[in-house]
Amino acid sequence: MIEKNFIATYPVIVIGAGLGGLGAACQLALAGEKTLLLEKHNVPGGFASSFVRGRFEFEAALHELSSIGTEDNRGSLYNFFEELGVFKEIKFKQVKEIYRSVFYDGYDVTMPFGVEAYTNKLIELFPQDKKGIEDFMEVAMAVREGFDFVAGQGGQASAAEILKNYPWLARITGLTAEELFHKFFTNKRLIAVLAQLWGYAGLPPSRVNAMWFTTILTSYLVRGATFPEGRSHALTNALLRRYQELGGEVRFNALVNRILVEKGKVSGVELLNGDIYRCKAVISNVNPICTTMKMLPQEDVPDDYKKRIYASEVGTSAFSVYLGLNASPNELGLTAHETFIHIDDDLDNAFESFTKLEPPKYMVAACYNHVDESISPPGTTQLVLTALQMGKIWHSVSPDQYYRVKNYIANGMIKMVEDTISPNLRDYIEVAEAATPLTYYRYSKNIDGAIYGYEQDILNSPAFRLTSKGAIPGLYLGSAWTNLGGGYSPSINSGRMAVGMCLRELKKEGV
Amino acid sequence: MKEDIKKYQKAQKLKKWREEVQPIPWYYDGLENLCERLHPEKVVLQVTDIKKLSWDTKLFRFISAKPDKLLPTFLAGQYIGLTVEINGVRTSRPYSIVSSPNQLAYYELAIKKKEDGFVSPYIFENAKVGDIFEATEPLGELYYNPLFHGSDLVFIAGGVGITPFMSILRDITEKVIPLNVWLIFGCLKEKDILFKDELEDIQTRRPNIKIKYILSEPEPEWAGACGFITGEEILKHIGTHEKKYFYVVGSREMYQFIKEELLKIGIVRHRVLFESYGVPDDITKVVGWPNEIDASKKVKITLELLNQGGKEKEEIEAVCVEPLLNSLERVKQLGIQIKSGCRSGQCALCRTKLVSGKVFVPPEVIIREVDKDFGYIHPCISYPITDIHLDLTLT
Repeated sequence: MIEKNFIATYPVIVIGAGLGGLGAACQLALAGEKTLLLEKHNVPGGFASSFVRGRFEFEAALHELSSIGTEDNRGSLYNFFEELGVFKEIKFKQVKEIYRSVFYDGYDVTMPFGVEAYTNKLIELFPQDKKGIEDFMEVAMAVREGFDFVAGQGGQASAAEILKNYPWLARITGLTAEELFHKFFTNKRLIAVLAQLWGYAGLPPSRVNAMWFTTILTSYLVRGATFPEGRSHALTNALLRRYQELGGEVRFNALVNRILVEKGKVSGVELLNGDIYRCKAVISNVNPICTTMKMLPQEDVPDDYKKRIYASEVGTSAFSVYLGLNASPNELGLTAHETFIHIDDDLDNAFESFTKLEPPKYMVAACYNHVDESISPPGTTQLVLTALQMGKIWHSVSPDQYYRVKNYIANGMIKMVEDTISPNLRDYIEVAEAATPLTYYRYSKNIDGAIYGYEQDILNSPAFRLTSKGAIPGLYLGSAWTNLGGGYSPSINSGRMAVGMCLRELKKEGV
Repeated sequence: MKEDIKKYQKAQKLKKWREEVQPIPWYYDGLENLCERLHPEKVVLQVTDIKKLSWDTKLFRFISAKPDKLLPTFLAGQYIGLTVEINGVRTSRPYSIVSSPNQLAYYELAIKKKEDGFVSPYIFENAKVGDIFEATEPLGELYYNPLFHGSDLVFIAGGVGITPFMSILRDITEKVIPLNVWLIFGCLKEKDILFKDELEDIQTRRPNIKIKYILSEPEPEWAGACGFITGEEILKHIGTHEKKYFYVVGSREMYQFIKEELLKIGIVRHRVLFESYGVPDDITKVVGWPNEIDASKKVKITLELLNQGGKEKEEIEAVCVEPLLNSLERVKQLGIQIKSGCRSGQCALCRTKLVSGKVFVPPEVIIREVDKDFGYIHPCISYPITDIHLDLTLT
């Protein structure tokens, strides 16, 4: 039978050119598979994008990229990027310091990269907890080794072996970060400074799984952090270009409406305009709930799979304020790439503020000029303020109140910067644009604008997370929602893991 | 240690238990409703009323043509991209919304007939009550931003450039927002002053809004200010420029002039907001235009299109002094539909891949650096100065 709207057949189709989708597409291209990448927007990258306001081009999402490292200190993405030839397209710049922590009571510290330098600085700040800090860092590094060991075994390592050689890996799986901290120290300020990166998990230490926390901290300390020259949009465009040069095909403005199923197996996709592509397998960069509940015919989805995708809570979204300032970072008192600003040491209270329509009590100000001078015109500064926020609280906002609420929260965030590090910030604003969870929803269609996928609590520690395996044979998921969790590198790697699983199974079938 | 392992097992159990719980049986994606109300993919409008504002300007009132779709919320000062089909050619133009943002029963647009224009004379002469138009959602960056604009605002309008300010002034008067406004409204003759009665009314009702008209070619009986909107005239009206924020809406020539005048009276760059420039009347007079290019030169445009899965190549001819998008829209038989909104290189709706060839873009247009690197252009404001190869399959 010849279908009227049939266009072409591909072995594998990737839906969505977000980070997971690009990771998957590039991995497929490297494996020599003929692939089609479909994207609903007219640009690749998803959140990894940029936009222009006045004479400023703003980085939309990336603060810094982990897992790249340098040639002699290779992170998990380095070899992949090298094989792809990404380094020929763009340069990565090293971020100078891990973060600056500022509190309303005037406490202000800047922490360095490097396990030893970082540990020493912490001890210098909190000498009474010297022993605890040293022990904690030792455990964190042991977990990292264990994690690498398990990853090296391709998930085949036996429980007995792990327990014997890497007991901490097993021990912290069921712990929250706070439970782990309390084994070593209880000083609230120390925890607030050490746990600084908790914003990237979307949950406070009392709820985020300890595994996530130690992995992210040690990854930053050991490999450092980088920023792609030309913003993250340069990275996603470079990935796309390499994918195309390796023979991959891409179509933009192509919203996939349905995944077609024959005999319980994936057989193709249908676009919104009715075009049909046939394929053996689909890798979806779209969130698992939308992929399963909206794109698949419901009768083909097993009930227990539906239960699994709803078992975890949807994670936080974000609220960002993008500022173009007509003054240099030095004039404005912005000394670090990333400055975290706290009202006090109560991190649970800070998280509480993300569940209300009010200015946050914890946020980060990223000043990109320190890592990339050319990010804004000479003599100006690009500053992006970001706080977390639950997307669902915006359900109650009516359209005519939307801009008022948005300005109220944005105003509070600018005030937090003025109260702590840059008193006259407002006088130098040339352009200001705020992004709410609605904005994040609009550009990603993620449920409630979630930026990290599922909540990364204990129930979603790596051991329990949803894997790439989709609801029916031939469907694979590669995004922040599956495998490793939220963030740039985990998302790219999640897409690659989906490809690994997909190709193994296609091979098994002898295709 | 044992305790920790127990915690692990407990989490394992809990997760299993959660998975047993009945799923929500419908798909739900939360913010869809709010997003649809604020940023619909497109808006379908129907003309319900037409009123003559002046000898060359008409006021059109639009309601939503679909009773189940409400008009999206907008910020006073924003515009919509109105799509029109003229003799089979589909194109769009941006028009600022004149009506108040505090009611969404209708939008009003003031459209001035531009003598040698393509779209405005057509709408002016032909649009009638009951006609249906497609439009973009409200777009644009000219609006009052309470985060940093402060409470003293200076509006500088030239001719039909008064339209966004009408919406902002209506918003301020209706809501009684505590802002001080100085409006300087430049026109050719007295008959060109749009909304004069309403402006006068606003001025008498709200003492914190002060309006000054400046006519460049007044009739002898005009008693008000004459000439151009110079820095001196501006200072005369507003007193001091301390703490004030400036908005300028008008023509490209006016922007050039005002920019220098504002600079002369010591106003810093980041306290002035210009509305988008639009397509210049004569591109060859724009700063940076390569003079060696013959203005009457024809160029060849090669297009790659997607047709039934296969790529198809088409060639068309275009002139180099016209934006690429206009040339593309004119080729009816190809049925190319490229979304567009601002026609100024700002909204990025028309972003297109340039495979080879060179285009000229006016200097005020800033496109993403990565678009420059990867060969993407905004055809609405790009002029083909050599033969061009476009890949529309990526659009």
